[in-house]
Amino acid sequence: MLDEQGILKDYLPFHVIHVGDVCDDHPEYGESTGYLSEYDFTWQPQTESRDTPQMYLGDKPLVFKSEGADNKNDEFLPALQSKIGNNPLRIPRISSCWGMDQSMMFATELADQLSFSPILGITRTEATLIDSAGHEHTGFTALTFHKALRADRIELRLKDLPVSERPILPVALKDRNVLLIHKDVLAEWKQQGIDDVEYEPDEEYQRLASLEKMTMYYQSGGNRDFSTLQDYQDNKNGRTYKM
Amino acid sequence: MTEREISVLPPLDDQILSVIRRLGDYDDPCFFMIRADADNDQVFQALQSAASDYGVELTDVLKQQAGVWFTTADVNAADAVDLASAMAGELTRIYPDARVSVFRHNPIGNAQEAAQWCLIQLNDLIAAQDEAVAVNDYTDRAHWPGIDRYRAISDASRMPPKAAADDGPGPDGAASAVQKDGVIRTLFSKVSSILSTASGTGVSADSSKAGADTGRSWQAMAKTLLEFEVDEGLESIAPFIFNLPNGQALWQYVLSGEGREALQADGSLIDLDQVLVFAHAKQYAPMFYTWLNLTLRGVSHQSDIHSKLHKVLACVSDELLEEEDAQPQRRECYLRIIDIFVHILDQTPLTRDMYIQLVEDEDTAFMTAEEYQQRFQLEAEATSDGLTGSQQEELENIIEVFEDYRFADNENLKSLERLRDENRNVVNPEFWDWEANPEQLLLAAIFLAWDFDRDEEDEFTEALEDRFDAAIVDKICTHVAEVLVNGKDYDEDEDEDEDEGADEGCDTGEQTNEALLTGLRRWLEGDHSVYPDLLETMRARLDLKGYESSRSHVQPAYEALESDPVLALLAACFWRRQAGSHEASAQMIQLFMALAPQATLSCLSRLYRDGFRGFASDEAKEAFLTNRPSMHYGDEFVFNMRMSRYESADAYEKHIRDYISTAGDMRMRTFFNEGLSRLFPPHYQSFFSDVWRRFPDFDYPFDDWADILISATQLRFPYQTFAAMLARDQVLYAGEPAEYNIPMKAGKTMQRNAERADFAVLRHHSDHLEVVLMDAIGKEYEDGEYIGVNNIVIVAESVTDDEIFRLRDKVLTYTQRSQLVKETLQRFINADISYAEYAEITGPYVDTAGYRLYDEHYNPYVGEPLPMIRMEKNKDRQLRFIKVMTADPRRKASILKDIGVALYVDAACQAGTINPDRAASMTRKDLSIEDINPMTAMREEIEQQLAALN
Repeated sequence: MLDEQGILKDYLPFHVIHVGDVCDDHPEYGESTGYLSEYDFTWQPQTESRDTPQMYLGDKPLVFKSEGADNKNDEFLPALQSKIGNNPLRIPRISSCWGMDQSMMFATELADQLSFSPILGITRTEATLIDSAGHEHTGFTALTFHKALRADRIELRLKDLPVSERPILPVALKDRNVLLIHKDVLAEWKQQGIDDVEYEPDEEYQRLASLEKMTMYYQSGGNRDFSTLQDYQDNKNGRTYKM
Repeated sequence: MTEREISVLPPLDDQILSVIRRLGDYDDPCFFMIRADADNDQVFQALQSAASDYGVELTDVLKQQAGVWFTTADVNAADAVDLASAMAGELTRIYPDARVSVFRHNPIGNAQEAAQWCLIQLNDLIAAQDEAVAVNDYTDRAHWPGIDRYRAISDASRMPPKAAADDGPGPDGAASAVQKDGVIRTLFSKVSSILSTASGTGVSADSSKAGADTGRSWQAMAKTLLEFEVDEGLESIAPFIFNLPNGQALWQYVLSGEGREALQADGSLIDLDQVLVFAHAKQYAPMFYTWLNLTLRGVSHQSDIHSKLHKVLACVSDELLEEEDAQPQRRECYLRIIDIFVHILDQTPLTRDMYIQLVEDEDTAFMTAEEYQQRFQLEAEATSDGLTGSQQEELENIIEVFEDYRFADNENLKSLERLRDENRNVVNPEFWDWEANPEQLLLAAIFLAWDFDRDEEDEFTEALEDRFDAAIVDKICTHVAEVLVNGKDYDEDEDEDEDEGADEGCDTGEQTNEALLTGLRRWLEGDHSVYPDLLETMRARLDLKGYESSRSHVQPAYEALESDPVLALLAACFWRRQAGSHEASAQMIQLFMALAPQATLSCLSRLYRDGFRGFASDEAKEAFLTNRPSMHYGDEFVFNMRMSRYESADAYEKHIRDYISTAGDMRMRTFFNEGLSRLFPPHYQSFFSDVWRRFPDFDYPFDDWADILISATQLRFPYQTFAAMLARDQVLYAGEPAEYNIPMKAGKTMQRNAERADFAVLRHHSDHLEVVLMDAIGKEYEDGEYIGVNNIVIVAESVTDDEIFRLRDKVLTYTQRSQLVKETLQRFINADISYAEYAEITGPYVDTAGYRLYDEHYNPYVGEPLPMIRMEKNKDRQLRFIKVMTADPRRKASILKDIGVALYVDAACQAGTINPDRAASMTRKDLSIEDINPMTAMREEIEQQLAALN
């Protein structure tokens, strides 16, 4: 962050690029229409409880369903299934969990590259995902951020901690919490070809002071739209729009 | 359906659940649970018959269980009550013991739960064997019985069956249950019982066994070290602490205070920040985990635990702070538990709630501010700007509160005072990011007043004074400009090269505003000559609040006194005056006291008050009254009367007697009445009602009954008026246009409607709809087009052009309709015309089904009908008021029922059998069984008199 001198100077805001609108031909009229949106990649845990929790303790596996699954009516679901050849939907390696960004969904292979000091208060929950076309996916991990540290506390408590134990930092600002990610991790991900994060956020996002003052801040690198379901499945020809 | 009391949420039929799940986020239908031993068709027909009278569409009638039916309807509060009564009436024809329970779903709540509560209410209704109908509708404030009973059942039902094994979120609605000691104990007994029944499922109820292998149990240590018996609260939290890393030493510290240095030295305390409260509690302290879930409504962020720590620790605070035996040890024990949580929660400074609990709350406090500061002020080193992080944060919080000045109160003032006492540096405006905005000017003025009062003066005082004086006049002009009619941002640096409008020879309003602001500036700078003109222009140009406020009201509601910047500046002037004479401040207050004395006094007293209630304390009251601005007798009486209502029954009673004591001093009585007339009419009605109950000879001083009745009268819209003038079988439809399956064509003689009438009239033919009358504006209608008007009336083929055009001219404008109805009302109330004549003249214009005794949407600038009816001494006029209000046969019974209760209560009050304090708020439910017969007799007598009134 540009306005920090200590540990935080080596971090950037962790901006996930979300799946935006995925369009394709309407099953009846032929014109382009939306099949998938960010809601189809926002995960809600399935519990017996009446309420939907946003934070998970990691002590038992959970099944998550996409928030958009319930909105797929009788007309669209078969059309969607048919257009993707009854294959599972591609799931981004990083996506959102339902709620106030207190949890995020990672491909387990990616989550396993990260280790966290217990001081950071991050739990891992083994996740099974059911996508909006009804297919089940294993190999996912929900990371839940149970706490956020003030900048002064980070300097106090993390100064002797190796970077490998603090790849992502939940930071408490006055009116909001933000997630920062270490530049080394971003560099590594870039090398691995992970395209679900923004690598160079605009400069205004690289200052804690300006993040603090923003009226709206979504911790987002924008949405990536696709013109056909096949493009989405192949992850090609996506167009990213910043919010 | 059994008649035993239900104590858990009953299950719902799947079909009903399916209906409920289809509700949208903003839907708020009434649920109906109906008891009737009859078949589906019979019930359906009976319900439809009742619903059709109200034009209400029911959803399908579904079977909940044998003899119990469910349906829903989108109805308003009045219709819900009357529809339920009508349903019960129809159903008793097929099942004499029919019952109807109505529960409105609040869209911010849970619909399934509301339906379950509706079923519980039905069960209560059956068990009581009294009324046939029960309604729980939160939108009907006057009759709403609340939902406490139902929430308690929900909370009890939500206790997780396996508290320790369930990581789902806690329930909603539990937070309110954590306040009272009794409730806490009840919850703990439930938690214990749940855990003990769960022991067979592998969940250990004996939390002592969950701990680390330490050799000693937490109970044994407690028994050795404590002078008092461990109760449920401490029992729940003990295994949580005992099983922390180095938990035995930490528990020893909590119990005895011993070993803190060692815990600090070996990092045991600071390393507690590796503990997640929910995860740790779930693993080691099931009772505490359940408590956390109930208190925080599910697994929560550590920052939420921090912000609600006083609630989280409520499980032990009663036991450790409010019991008297071994009090010193209990208190120390509590402080050390806080120490543990402070370290778990990253040593974040404690919240104000914790400060209140330990320093201010008379039930729990035992520390001085200094002791608290010493123990919990963790950031001992000041930051470079002379304030610690938490002090800076608190200062910013207070400034933020002052930004929303309407919501500030004495707590904020006390926080500020504490902060100032803690660190004088807060007074230094260099640290405020000074922009001379209203909240900073207020802050400056408060500090100046305190410095003056305590005779403290330093460079900060001077700096504040200079900055305040340099900015206050400009800021007042800037923010007053924003609340003028056609107001715009006022640029204080703008050159005076205006007069563009003058060149065109017209005043756009902007010039008037400019002149007003010039006058205001001169007034604030001490030019007294401008005052009369300024006051008059302000009254004419200040923007009004909402569409119902009017400059013709005795006290118009000005937007200025709702505007946080203006209010903060007004308050700043009030405080600045306390730091010695200050012309601009005094002038500002004088001006606003003349414009709106009560709203101004509300603003000035804000920081001495307890929220929107009265003064926060005797000291706060005295401080305000010492510094209050000079005011008229009547305004002073009214302000003190308003505050006394919050203070005590005796204080309020004294004002009633003071008012009555002016009977022999008409000058003073007039002053008081003038003051009272500046209140919202429902507020002065309330005061006069209280006077009248104690002194029945008191004559209501205002002549506002006609305004009240015309306000209660629901005038029809133009298209409704037009339809109402035709016979019922001549009108096929009246409402918004829709798609029709027969073509629409322009009539050969098609005409335009009267000015401002926004509806069209269509005549139905076998093969098309003929547009006979188009709305007043818009383009000509062409065959086949969608008819783009707000409303249409479709009339039968038999209605002629002449008839349509004749009735068009009788619809009248809103002002004409309103005036006609008002004049006719006056003639009827004064017995100049009969009721039949009144009804004939007003019939087309008035929707009698819209009359309400209580309506949240009543115009606040007009009084309410029920107090007017109650206080009317002339029995003939009183009867005529009632006749008007009960004109609609569907509404008559319920309105008359409420009026009957009120008049019966008033009669009993005057006979001395009911205390006047109680009479004001009594409803039918507050009356005893002995009251029913005489009350019914009284109502029947009124009904007979109404029937005889021509």
